[in-house]
Amino acid sequence: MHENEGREDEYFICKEVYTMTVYYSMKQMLRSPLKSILFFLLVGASAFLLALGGSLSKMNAEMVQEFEEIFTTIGTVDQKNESIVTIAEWDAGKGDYVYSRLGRPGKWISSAVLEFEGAGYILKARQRPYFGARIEEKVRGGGDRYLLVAELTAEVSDVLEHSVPMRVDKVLAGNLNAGDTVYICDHYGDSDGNYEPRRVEEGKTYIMRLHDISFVHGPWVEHIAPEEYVREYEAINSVASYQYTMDGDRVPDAVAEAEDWNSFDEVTGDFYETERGMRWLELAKSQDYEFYTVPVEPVDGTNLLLPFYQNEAQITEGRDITGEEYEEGKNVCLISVELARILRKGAGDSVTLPLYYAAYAPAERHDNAFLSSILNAKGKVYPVFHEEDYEIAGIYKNMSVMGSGEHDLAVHEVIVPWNSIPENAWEDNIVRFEPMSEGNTSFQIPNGTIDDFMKAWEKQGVDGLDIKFYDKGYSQLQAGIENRKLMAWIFLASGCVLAVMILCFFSNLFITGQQERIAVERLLGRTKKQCALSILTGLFVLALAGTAAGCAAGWMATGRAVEATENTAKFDTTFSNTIIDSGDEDETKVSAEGGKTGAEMAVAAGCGMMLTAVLISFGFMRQALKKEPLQILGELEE
Amino acid sequence: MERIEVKEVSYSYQNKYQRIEAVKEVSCTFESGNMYAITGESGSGKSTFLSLLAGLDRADAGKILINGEDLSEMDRDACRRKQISVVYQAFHLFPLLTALENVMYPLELQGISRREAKEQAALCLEEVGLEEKILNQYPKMMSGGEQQRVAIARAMAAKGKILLADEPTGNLDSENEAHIVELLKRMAHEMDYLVIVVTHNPGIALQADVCMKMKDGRMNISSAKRCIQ
Repeated sequence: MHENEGREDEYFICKEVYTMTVYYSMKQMLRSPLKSILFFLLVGASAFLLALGGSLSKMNAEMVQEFEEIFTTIGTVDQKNESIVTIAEWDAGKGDYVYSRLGRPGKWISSAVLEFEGAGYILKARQRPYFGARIEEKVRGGGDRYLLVAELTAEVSDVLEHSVPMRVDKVLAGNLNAGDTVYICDHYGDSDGNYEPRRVEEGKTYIMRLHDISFVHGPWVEHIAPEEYVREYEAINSVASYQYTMDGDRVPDAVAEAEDWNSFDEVTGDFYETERGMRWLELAKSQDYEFYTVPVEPVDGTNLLLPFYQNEAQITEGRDITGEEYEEGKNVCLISVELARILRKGAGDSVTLPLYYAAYAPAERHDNAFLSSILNAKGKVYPVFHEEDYEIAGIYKNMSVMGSGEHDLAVHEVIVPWNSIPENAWEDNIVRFEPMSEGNTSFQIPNGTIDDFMKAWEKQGVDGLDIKFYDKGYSQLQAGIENRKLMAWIFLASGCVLAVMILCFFSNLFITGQQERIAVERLLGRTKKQCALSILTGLFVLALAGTAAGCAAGWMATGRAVEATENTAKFDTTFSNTIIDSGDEDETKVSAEGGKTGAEMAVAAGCGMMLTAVLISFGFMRQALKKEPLQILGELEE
Repeated sequence: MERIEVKEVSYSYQNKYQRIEAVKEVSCTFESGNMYAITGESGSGKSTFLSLLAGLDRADAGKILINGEDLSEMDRDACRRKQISVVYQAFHLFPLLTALENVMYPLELQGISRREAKEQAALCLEEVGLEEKILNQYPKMMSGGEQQRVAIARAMAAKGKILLADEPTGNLDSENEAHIVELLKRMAHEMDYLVIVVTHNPGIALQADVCMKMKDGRMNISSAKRCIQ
């Protein structure tokens, strides 16, 4: 018995018998050429569809992946102006008021309204403050015309309705020279219409915060030729404090409430012993600090800053801050080329950032020393609320045109992860609070979800906010991608259905339809396995040939199809949702490189096809072999 | 010398409605050099008995010994390949193979090279009296007699010396029937085959050396003449 089995195995693996089995299997298959050719062609057609659909699917997936890396969708939020007010300002040059119209937002809307169901943020919407960090090196040029505090003695007695000469006695902050004569005028006094320029008395000394405003004019400068363009200064602001709560309310300060915009004080013997005198000293100190202050902007992603998003600012040394670093709040930062030069530091070095005030306003405005003062409600310079060493991850160059908008970067802006600073650590150091604007309120959502976001937002019923989206044209691309996805799925689905139908039909024809052959082979002493081999070999060889041909054709057709429909679009990087056909604008070229698609999906489609063929044909074969040969022949004779 | 011993063999099967006892305690012996005829009415169990001898079914009880070896313990596929051949009324040739290829098939199945198989198959076809022009014809191009001869040639080619034939002339005219019966007799008497023919045809039974009659699954053994009576 065992010996018999051994011989049987030997028989089964016998090369000649195997060769003979294949030979006769193929011979019989080819002797029904019409059926065989039809089978080959139909298998090829379904393999073609599968390979085409699979390759297109893969290509689409790769393209979407590529697009996801290229494109990001960010939104910015602006609080709309609720009304327009007319401002009257005294123009000493004209000796009359000038009127201007200015948009005014209504009640400030909290950024908390942007937290709503269905927003689907990748990076949540925040109204970001920027922080002032006082560093060791001086970052503002000596010629800065805004940060000046000095004691001046009037050389004449007059009303400051034209340029009045005053001698600089003592410079407390800024770039003036003691002994020089400067000309002061209340050129544009903030006014409600009742403004009267103030008067100075000859020989009296005053302390003023000055602002370079225009060129000299009036009776005291007749000896100066107009072409000499001698500057004139205006006394602006004073010792009023500016401190806000996290809700944007101003912290009460009696001194501030009593102040005029352009008040100044007369300096007498013990002036600096008085409360106002001490405040003037603090103000001078704060003005001096500003020369050493860099704006630090905490964000959740570099792309949330429009200059980076629009490639106007680019990392030139080192690297960007990674998503993980943002997430974990690592002490890493990006600094500008200019600041790196001043600090004499490069990527990998560290910089200490002592943060001492927070301003809810676009950082770009820091360049103009827009803060009226950085004194808190106690009349003191804000103390440092957070100080850490930050590693310089990268150095960027900002190539945007200066003054291109509130979304621009400040000159020496330092970018740090939002999470690197403890939440609300700055709540007692808020020096400015303005409504949300695109310069300081932005968020990121998944590509292609703008409509969903807006639907969810509209349900909130919040008026007064203007939300703008920037997606570099992804919305236009999305339609094309969806079409290609649909096309790929149609090919795949029709290929699958066709494959199963064809394989079932032909398995029925070549297996169930050959029951007599199966029975006779069994009667001639073939085992069930050999019988299956004999019947299926021809079927598989034809299926394999058809599949290979179909897949190869499908793969080549994919390349052709992509070439024909190659979707090369040029996307303006400056404006969202804009595709431009030509022009010299800075462009991002996105090309669907479908022609370079690999053969993996065609091979996978072929393998899938053959696996299906094996499963289906084995199913039919198993069923056919269940019957004993005599039963089959008996049924056939009946 | 081929010998089949059947000892107390019984076989039953379940059809759609009831259990059929097709073969009941049959005992008999078959030896080469003889042609045996098994007759009986339809449903008497003769074809079932033949399939038991061919190893296509397994007996419920009793033993079938092929040259002393118990068939139930043998590899029955190998047995059909090497020892026992079966010929049917409907010929059952491979429709997509020529006459020559049909005969070569069992030879190649035994590992014989194609060239050698071709030569031997041609000899077998010559032996059954088929002309050379038939060799490359497909079954559907041949007459019933020619097809049955090809089937017998295929059985001969298998090298086994036991030939079981189930109504081998059922689809043939009288002339072809005579040729086939003559061929079977010649195989038994001149080539020392053990030939067992299941038939309705009394003419064939008369020409057999031994005639067996089955009725309700039981077997009566007699001479050919008694069998016919």
